[in-house]
Amino acid sequence: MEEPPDMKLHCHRPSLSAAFGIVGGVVPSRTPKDILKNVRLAAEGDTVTLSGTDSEVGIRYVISGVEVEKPGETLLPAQRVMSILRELTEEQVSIEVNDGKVRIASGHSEFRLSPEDPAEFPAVAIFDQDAYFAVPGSVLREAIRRTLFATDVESTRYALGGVLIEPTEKGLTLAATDSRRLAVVEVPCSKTGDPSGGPANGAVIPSKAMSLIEKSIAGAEDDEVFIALRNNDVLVKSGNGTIASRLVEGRFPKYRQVIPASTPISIDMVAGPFYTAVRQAQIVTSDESRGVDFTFSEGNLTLQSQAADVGASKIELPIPYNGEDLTITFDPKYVADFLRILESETAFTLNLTDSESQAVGRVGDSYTYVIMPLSRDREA
Amino acid sequence: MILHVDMDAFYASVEERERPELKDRPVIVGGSPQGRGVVCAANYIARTFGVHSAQPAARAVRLCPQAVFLKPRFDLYSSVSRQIREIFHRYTPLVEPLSLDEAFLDVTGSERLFGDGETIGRAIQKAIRDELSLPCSVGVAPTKFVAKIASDLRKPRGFVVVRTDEVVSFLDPLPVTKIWGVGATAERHLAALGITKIGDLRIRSAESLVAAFGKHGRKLWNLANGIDHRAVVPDHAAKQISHETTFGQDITDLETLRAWVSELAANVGRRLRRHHRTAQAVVLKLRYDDFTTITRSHSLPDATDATSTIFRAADELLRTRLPRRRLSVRLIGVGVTGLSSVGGQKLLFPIQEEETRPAIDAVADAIAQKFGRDALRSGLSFGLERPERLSPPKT
Repeated sequence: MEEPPDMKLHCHRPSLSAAFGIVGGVVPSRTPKDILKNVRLAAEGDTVTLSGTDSEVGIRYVISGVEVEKPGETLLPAQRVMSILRELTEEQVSIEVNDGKVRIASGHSEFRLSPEDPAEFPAVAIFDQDAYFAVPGSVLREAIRRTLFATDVESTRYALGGVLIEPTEKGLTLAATDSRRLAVVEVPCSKTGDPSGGPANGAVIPSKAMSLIEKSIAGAEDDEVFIALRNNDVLVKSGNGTIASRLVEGRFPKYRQVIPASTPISIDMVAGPFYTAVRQAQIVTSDESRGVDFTFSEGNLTLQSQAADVGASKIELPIPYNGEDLTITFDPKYVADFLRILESETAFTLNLTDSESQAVGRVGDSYTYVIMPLSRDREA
Repeated sequence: MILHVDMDAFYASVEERERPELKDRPVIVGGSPQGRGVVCAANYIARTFGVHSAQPAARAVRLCPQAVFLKPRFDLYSSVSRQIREIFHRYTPLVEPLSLDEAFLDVTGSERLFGDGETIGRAIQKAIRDELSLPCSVGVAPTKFVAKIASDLRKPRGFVVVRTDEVVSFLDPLPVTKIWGVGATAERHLAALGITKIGDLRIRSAESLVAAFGKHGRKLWNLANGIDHRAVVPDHAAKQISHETTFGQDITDLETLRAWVSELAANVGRRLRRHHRTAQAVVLKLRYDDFTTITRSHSLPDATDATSTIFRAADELLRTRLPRRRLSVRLIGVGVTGLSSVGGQKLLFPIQEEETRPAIDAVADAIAQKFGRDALRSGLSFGLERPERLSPPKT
């Protein structure tokens, strides 16, 4: 007769695998603290809570509908267990801890692992705030998708490696920039308590945390996401996840100053056809010459690119424009990034001043994207 | 065909043109009659007294007391240089400037339009004389190596054409020192093997030269045989930018080499900025006294055009990445690769521009433009003698 297990559960494997994928996103692959390469699994009631942290960003993620035979906890080496869950083929998986060893079984497969001590694992914050902003999950998810790509995690200006969240009178503003382009989204929100904490100039959340929030909303788009900004960190409760992250230090640029209040030219565009044209123009560029000339003339937009040793391209697109001819040179990547995240049929206005000034794309009242052109007076 | 166009006593000729009263007198640009400073350029009359560039002015005064000393006007020379390049570009877009006063031109694609290399060379020499009242020498040859030697052969106002079937007979009688990178030390090495003329090199087997000089031996043999595949690369199409210098005497002192690295990094940085380009990696090249040549490279986390970043990377390579062997160096070079021209990208928050392109470089560039590139140097490179002939920038 075997000893009773220290912990035992049965669970829907694809759900556990998906949850591991989300929590694994925070687990560092290289770290001086080896224990952080683990995911902590705690089984209780009919739920399993997975948690992971890289000591800057941490996440707890709850899976419900789990058959828990014996409550308990263990650490699981993230990379290996993720591979196991991915490679298994059966719908059900069992995990049990016996005499300090983990056994993972599914169908005809069985794995035994030696876990590290869960008591050594750093605590991951729980959402215990009573003052916070609440944003519909689907709205926040779209806002993150519309800003996150504009960050620059490689920059020596650390604030550019995150997304700014700034409370305003109407709601929250999310902003991200790598200094070549800027993405700004306004989201409506409700307040519980008095969520006035956080740095005076808004909180800069690391890209990694924003990406986790975005992923954790999946499957819970109709729920509200709670955001509590504090002086040095942020706590977010979204869907089945709780995310705690340190804020990025450093001043976020005064981004409102570079959004022109009005521009002499405003053209109605549709994302899909414009995106197609930009993607075509991108083909004949090289690292050496990335610029594509965007020439606006009556009823027509012409995209022209050429690269030494490669060739040249010319793509035309009908547009509702009847002003003077204007040519602006952009790095097409920054235009494509904006168009890629819009639905094909999304309408927006493209607002221009002249060939040396920033162009502004506006989607409704809530999304503003600013791109700086390439200088046209540069030497060959 | 390749043209090498080299202005004759450029700074001095420009001054003579500006001040006709100087005609027929020895003219020295740079230094002072009191013997301070260094000669930047001397006209041909002054040269007959033994005056030459990079000479201490004190010595020039002793050699030629009646010389007229002039303060250099670099902004004038660089604007004349732009006019000269404009003339080159009438005949071909493939212009590779080596400095203010010399350039390679590949006219192969222009010969149907304007006539053969000789015709184009004559036309350029005439245009520079008629429009700018300045003398130049032109070498016309199938390769860069031969064209450069040819332009130097009959200075001033020289015009030397070397046709493909004449290359070997042209090179054979010339001394080996005409080959780039063959300085006094190499000359001694070669002389010890009984090689004094390029023809002596040519008749050796390539293998024996490789045995004696390593990979560089192969290059020497190729050049002696008129083989030189280097293309004329316009600056803006260059895949890499590098500057190197060959020492008259081997350098054994690390601090002196660091000083040279500082000087060369400044030249590379200036050239990057002039073309609005940034580089992703820094390369250090070293040739030892036995011709062993090594290159070491370092990838930068962020593309840069900042002199200080290029210097730090090259200096680090020099101090930490050299093989364990006696330091005795005949050539050192600093280069950059991974070039891109994103410099044209305007920024919404230009603080970053200050961070990645230190204001000090902009000031240094302005000073170099106005007063010449020796006017401002880093403390480290201060006191270095300019070599008599910097190797041409390799692209």
